[in-house]
This record gives sequence, structure tokens and C-alpha cells, in this order.
Amino acid sequence: MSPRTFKLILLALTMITLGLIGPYLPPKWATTVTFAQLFAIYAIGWDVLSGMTGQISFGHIFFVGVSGYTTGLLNMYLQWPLWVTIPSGMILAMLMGLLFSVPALRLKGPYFSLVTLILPLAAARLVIILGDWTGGELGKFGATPLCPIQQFVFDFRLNQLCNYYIIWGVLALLAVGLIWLASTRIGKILEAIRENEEAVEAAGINPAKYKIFAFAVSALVVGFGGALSVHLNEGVFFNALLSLTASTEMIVASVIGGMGTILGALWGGLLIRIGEQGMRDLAHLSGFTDLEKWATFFFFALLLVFLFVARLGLLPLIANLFRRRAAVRKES
Amino acid sequence: MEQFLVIVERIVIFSVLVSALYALVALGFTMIFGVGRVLNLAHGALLMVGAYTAWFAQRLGLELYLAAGLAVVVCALLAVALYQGLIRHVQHSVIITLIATLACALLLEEIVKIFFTTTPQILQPFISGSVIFHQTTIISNRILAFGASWAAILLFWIFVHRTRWGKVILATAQDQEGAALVGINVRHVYTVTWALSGALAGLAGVFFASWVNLSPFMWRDPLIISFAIVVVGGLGSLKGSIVAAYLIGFLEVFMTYSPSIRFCADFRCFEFLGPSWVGVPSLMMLVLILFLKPSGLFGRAHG
Amino acid sequence: METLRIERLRKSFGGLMAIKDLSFHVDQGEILGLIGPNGAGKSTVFNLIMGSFRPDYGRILFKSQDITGWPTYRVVNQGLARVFQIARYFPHKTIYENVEISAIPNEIFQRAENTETKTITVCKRTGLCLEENCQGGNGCLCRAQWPGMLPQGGLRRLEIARAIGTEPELLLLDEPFAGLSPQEVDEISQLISDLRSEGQTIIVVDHNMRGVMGLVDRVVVLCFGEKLAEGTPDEIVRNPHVQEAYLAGGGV
Repeated sequence: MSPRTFKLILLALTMITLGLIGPYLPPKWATTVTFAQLFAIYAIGWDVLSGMTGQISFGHIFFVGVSGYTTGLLNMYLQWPLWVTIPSGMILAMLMGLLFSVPALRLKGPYFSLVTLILPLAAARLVIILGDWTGGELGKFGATPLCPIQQFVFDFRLNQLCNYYIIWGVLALLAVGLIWLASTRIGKILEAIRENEEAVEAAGINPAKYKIFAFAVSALVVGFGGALSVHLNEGVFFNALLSLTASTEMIVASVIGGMGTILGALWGGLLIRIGEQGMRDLAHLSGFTDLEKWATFFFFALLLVFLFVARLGLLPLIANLFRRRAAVRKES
Repeated sequence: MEQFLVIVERIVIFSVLVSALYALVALGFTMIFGVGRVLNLAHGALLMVGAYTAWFAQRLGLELYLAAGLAVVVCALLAVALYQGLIRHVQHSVIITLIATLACALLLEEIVKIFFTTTPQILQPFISGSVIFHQTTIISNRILAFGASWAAILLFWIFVHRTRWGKVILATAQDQEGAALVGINVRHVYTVTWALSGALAGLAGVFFASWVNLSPFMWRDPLIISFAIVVVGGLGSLKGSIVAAYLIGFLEVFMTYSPSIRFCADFRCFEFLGPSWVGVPSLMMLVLILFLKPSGLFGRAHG
Repeated sequence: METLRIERLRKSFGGLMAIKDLSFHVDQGEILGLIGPNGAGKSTVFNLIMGSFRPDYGRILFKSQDITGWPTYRVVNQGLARVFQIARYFPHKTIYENVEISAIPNEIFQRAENTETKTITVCKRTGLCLEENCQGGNGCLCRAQWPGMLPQGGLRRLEIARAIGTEPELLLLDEPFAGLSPQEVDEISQLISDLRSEGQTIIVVDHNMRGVMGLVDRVVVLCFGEKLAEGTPDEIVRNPHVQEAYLAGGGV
């Protein structure tokens, strides 16, 4: 079985499970899983650039912010419909990706990472300086709801499930697209760049061109997520669009799931958001309410653990397990 | 005209005062980078821990001088723990080190949120009151912070250039293999530099609180400032760092204390310069320099 | 016909002149030996040709095209490829995938052509894969082995395969026999002869004349960055300047 088939089967299993459980989830959990799927979009977007090429970006939330604020502000001030604002936000995020990738990719290793760390911090300052328009740190309410049904009937549950399946569909589409991309020669070259950039150049391939391409795709995917989040939240909110914690959690998701595997990042993303909610629930059930506050802490700690003991991440571990089993079966 | 001179005076005085503090903030960060080639993204968080330790000790009834001393010790120990428990094992990979230190910074942010909530807190000053110089009112505690920062920088300089341990650190910074070959225990040196860096961060944290409130997010600005200073001033160069600190400090004060210009449309306003521009100069400097001259203004080329 | 022409190439590092006014040319179909004692500047010449460094002065013409100072990937696409002494491979990719990267064109949006046949041909041609193992696609040994499993000679083969994969008109071999066992030397030597009989133009760098004498058509001898002599292997062996340089540098 080729790695692509293997991943697509596991992806199908994951997405079918998510699709089937949707209607049976209690309301709170339906919202949680919706946002977990949204976060998985960010995580796979991050993984295309950083996981695959090894150029670690600390500030991918910047593209969420660019796309999100563009979408939200166009929608709220110019009353553009969301099927125009979402693509606008995505395209602007991609353009920003192209704009910054050219100089940023001249920088090697840590310098690249640090520049990407600066971008969301600079964007955050801009949002605050333009606070009268953006709502500053408090945010601004009033964007069109994501689900079109809500404009006709107001039914909380229906609306919630509608949101759930919109995000579900986008995630499935993007994940299939990116796993396919990873299996094409573009994906092969991106992985080769991570392993040995010099050898890629010696093979007659311009690594910069491929990295810029990856940057643009990555910004586009993450930007899609950012634009959706604005309509999901029905407004632009600083903490959702420019949080440094969320930016680092993308790295956590990918490292836990398996860097550069796309599917691993998707799992990691789901796991973090669902796990956080799970810990909160556990806190309430056990009466030990302080536990709730430790959720984010727990995942950063988990990142450190993975960095130490299982740098490959979950998916490669599972794949190796399968491979070993197959080998044993062959021998016997 | 009179008004203008008052503003100029205020900007000059404040930038002189705050820049010394910036130099102190960046000192530990520069040293770790210079000696071990580690970009410690948890440096700002160490500063935060220092500030909160002092604040908490003070709340428990400790004298501020003792509380500040405690903050220095706690930060030094925390930095050593960070190095021994984590950095030492991941140091070989620059990227993993960056991820790990950033994760540590965010972990510390979470811990502060858990124990002290996100409500901003105020650290009681060492000396209260203020001094009026000409037309400018200066908070006395900030003058003390200025003096103490310079004292700490000078002491540090003497330590590095005049003591045996300082020379060992310098030697390791230049060539760790060479240092190991002449019998220096490099790991030992790293531990000492981390302890020193932590202590300096703790001290900087206590004084940084004379300019800003304590909050779980207060680590970000010092980190950006340190990073900007290292990039502008060059790796491990004390003189470069001080020049850079004054440059960035001046820009920062200029932008935030200048009278702002308002542009308004439909009852919504945008202010050019003014308090909301805090942090912008360091960020702009960083982006510009990294894009135009990746080796830094005064820097050696990086490998 | 001339394939490569080096004109008055000059390069210094700091105060040290590594290459001084070096000129030579390579004809199509020939194997040129670039020989000289350690530190003579042989690898620097390769670095200059491949665009790793920019020369201070002089021109590099390939098929009458001035390629001086081009980035490596463009030089490679123009039809030059280099085999490094120390293999530069992708450790987490299989041997097949390692070679495949070279067969992929530098166009993101070009329609996919079949890289598989090309890759397998290259693998077979360089002896990386045994013929019978390559028939069944996924059954190919190269697809289940990683470079880390190869011995020194196998790595050299892989390095040659990665270069051949770019379909070069001129192949630069940097010390192809360094660090190999006598048996591996024979095998690689055979591989190079095979490549020549297929019409491949090659420059071989070596500090040891004996190793390449049987292989090359013509020799350029470098000493301290300057051309000391040029001619057929026989002429070079009899050249007194060369003998002197080599005696000073530690024997032929």
C-alpha cells in the first residue's frame, strides 16, 4: 500500500467518524468539535510549509489574522456577502504569504522562525492602533453568520449542525487536497528540501521557488480557516485571530501528530481542541475545577514530552507499527 | 515653542532612563546567545517570573529589597533548571530549541494566569514620589531603575573582563571546542551563564515593573526588545547592545511620548504616534534589519 | 566540439589566491582529468563551475553560453552535474526516491511526465538496482532500501545516479575513488568506463594520477591554483615540471 493510500484511508475513517457523530453530540460538544475541525485546518496549513519543508513558522496565526480581519471588515463595513469576503480574505493572506516569503526565505533556520514570530505581533499592534475600526483587543461583533440557513429560520441546533458540517466539509476537502499535493512531485521536493536543500539544488531544482509556492499554499489554507472563523464567531475577535498561543499550538498539533504528514497535523489539531474541552469537562465532573485552567499548560507540556521522546509523532509511529506487523505476517 | 521644548526635554530624559533598562533587559539574552548560540525565547518569561516573584513576596509582607533579592535568586535557579532539564538536551537542533523555549514561555504565561489571573498588578516602588526636573516630572523609582541598571551593567562588564570566570566565559563564547581542549568544562560554563542570565532577567523584571504593570503577557515586549537589541547591536557585543538599547529606547519613547496626530473619518479615529505605538519601533527595526541586512547592523555574519 | 570553456578564471579567499588565471576546455565525448596535489584548487574549480562561488575574474562558457556566476540549479538545468566526494543524499527517502528527485523537472505547474521509467533506467545504469528486482515496480529493491544501508561504494554509485538523473551533458566527478576499497575502486572505475562508452563527457578530479591514468583522454595538472601542464597521460607522466611538483607534494 502506498503511503498516500494509507493516509487517505485513515483520513476517510477520521472524517467519516466525525461526520457520523455530529448529530449525536451534545450542543456544547458539537461547538467544540466544530472549532477543533477549524483548528485542524490551521494545523494542516502550517504543516504544508513548516512540517514539509522544515522552515518552522512561529507566526502562522498572522495569516489567520490577515484573512480574518479582511473578511470581517469588508463584510461589516461594506456589507459584502460572505461568498465574496471569504475569497478576498484568502487571496490577501496568500498575497501576504508571497510578499513575506521572498525576503524571509533568504533567512536560514532560526532567523526565518523569528521573523515569522514578529509578523503577528506587528499585526496585533496595527489592530490596536486602528482600534476604532477593528474593535481593538475587545473585538467587533456583527459579521454575517456562516450558515445561510440562519437568515431564514432561527433554530439553534440546526444552525449549529450546519456550521459543523460546513467546517467538516472544508476540512475534508483541504485535507484530501493537501495529502494529494504531498504525494505529487511537488510534495516530494518539499520533503527533499527539509532533508537536504543543497542536494535539491544539485538536482537542478530551485528550492526557493518551491518554498515560496509552499508558503502561498499554506497561507491560503490557513487564511481559509481564518475567514471561516470570522463568520463562525460572527465578528472579528483579537483572541481568535492573532493569538500567539494558537500560533504555537499549530506547531504542537503537527509535532504530536507527525510533522509533514498532513494527516498527523489534522489529528493533532483535533486532539488539542477536543482534549482541552475534555479536560474542562473532567474538571467539572471531578469537582476539581482548578484542572480546567491547566488545559493549555498540559498541551505545551505534552509538546515538550513529544520533542524529547517521540519526535516523529503519532502517525509515523502507527505507520511503523503497521509496517512491522505486515513484515511479521510475511515472515510467518 | 515653549510647549515644544517641554516635549523634547521629556523625550530626551525618558529615553535616557528607559534605554538603560532596555540594555539590562537584553543583557542576559545577548549573553546566552553569544556564549551558547541559543536564542532563549523564554527570556522575557524569566523577566516576568522575576517581577511576579517580587510582587508576591511583597504581598506576603517582605521588604521590597528582600523581595527583589528573592526574585533574582528564583530566576537564576529557574534558568539553571531550564538549561539542565531541557535546553541541554535539545541544544543541538536550533529549531527544536526555539520551539522548546517558546513553549516554556507560554507554559510560564499559563502558570501566571492560573495563579495570579490576567488582572494587571502593580509592584510597589522602592522609593515613592517623584522629582521635578525643569518642566518634567520623573518618578523617583525610575531614576533608581536607571542607576541600578547601569550599576548592574558595569558590574557585569567587570565580571566578564576582569575576573577569571569571566575570561573562561569569553573563551567559551569564542570557541567552545578550543575551550574544552584547554580543560574548560563547557557544560559548567553554560550552567553559570544561564544562572547569570536568569539573575539579570530577574533584576530587570523587578525594575521593568517601574514602567509597566504586571500581567501574564508582560514577557512579550521585553523579549522583542532583547531580540531587537541583539539584531541591531550584533552578537554578544556589550557595547553594541548598549548603543542598540539607546537607539531603540529613543525611538520607542519618541513614538509613544510625542503628541499624536489624529486622523478621523466617520467619528472613527486613527492616531499617528502616541501611547498605542508602544513596541512598534522595535518591531519595525527588526523586520527592516532582518530583511535588509540579515547579519545585523554591527553584527558578525552568522554561519 | 567544445563543451566547456574556462577563460582566465581567478578566485581568491581573503589574501590567498586559490585560482590564478586558469584556462582550459573540454571537448565533447572526452574524459578530462583535473589533477594536482592537495590544495591545488581542484575542488574550487568545480565550485566555481557549479555556481557555489562566484569567480573574481574570468568566464565560464558551457555550450557557448556564459554561465559565470549562475545559481547551481540553473547550471544543472543547462546540462552540468557534479558528483560530490562526500555523498549528499536524502537520508529519509529510499534509494529510488533519492534518484527520482533528480529526474523531476524544475517546473511546478508542468504536466507530470513519467519519472518512473527514467528513474529506474538510471538506477539500473549505475548498478544501484539489480535488474531482476526492478521489474515489478514496487518490488524494486531500491524502493525498500535507504541510503544508510549502502556501503561506501554504494553511496558513490547513488551520488553518480543522482547526477546522471539530471541528464547532464558534462559530468563533474570529484575524487570518485576516495575512501573506497580496492574492489569498489574497480567497480566504480568500470562504471565510469561504461559511461564513457555511452558517450558521456566527464571531468574527473583526483590527486592521485595513477588512479585515473587509464581512464582519461587528456590531463590538466593544477598546482597552487595555476595550470602546470596539459596533455595526454603519457606526456604528463614524462613532464619534468609535473614530476617535480608531485615529488614536492608527496609522489605520484
